Amino acid sequence: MEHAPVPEPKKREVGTKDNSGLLPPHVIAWILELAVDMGPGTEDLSTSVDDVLYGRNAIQRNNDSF
Amino acid sequence: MIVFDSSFLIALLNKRDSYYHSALRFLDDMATFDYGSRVTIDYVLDEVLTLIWSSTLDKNLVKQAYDLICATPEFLRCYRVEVEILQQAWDTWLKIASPNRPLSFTDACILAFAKREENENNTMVYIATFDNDFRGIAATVP
Repeated sequence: MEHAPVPEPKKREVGTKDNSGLLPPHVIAWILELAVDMGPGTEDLSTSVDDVLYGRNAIQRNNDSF
Repeated sequence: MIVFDSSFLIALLNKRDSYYHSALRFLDDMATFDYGSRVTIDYVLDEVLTLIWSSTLDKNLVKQAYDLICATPEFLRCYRVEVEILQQAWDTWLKIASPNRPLSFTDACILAFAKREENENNTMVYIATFDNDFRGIAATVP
């Protein structure tokens, strides 16, 4: 199920009927304000979603022990 | 269209995350290049809220994540996974998930949703993610 190479997106002006189009600066500014430091131990949270929620590492450790 | 995965949204919300700056750079990219509609699915909402809650036990952080995903339509629209998508996701998961590529069912739902959008709307669909499980089977960004 290999996917074709990722094509370059087209440049386009701001402002469309839905949320497509360029991301407005005030939305970026709002997102920047929203971000916080979630504290020690959260450095790899984004890449450990499955590990934390579904215990992938624990399953692997159990498999390795057999 | 661009579909946001949990990993990207979590990186965007946590300044301490190792991919925070990568996520910010991609925000700038979206201010320059048009990727089409920005969307996600309810399964991703569940993952993000549950992960932040279980990792921080801070209700304010969970609320901010909810606001980003559900209350900021200029940035993102959240779609429910319909029955047809569930069936496609199940078929996708059966085909792809393995010990070497431990795809979650949520990831399979994202792939099925993206495939449906590609087919029905004849549009290019990107997946915004830092999850390696998507590599090689979808058009991923950043």
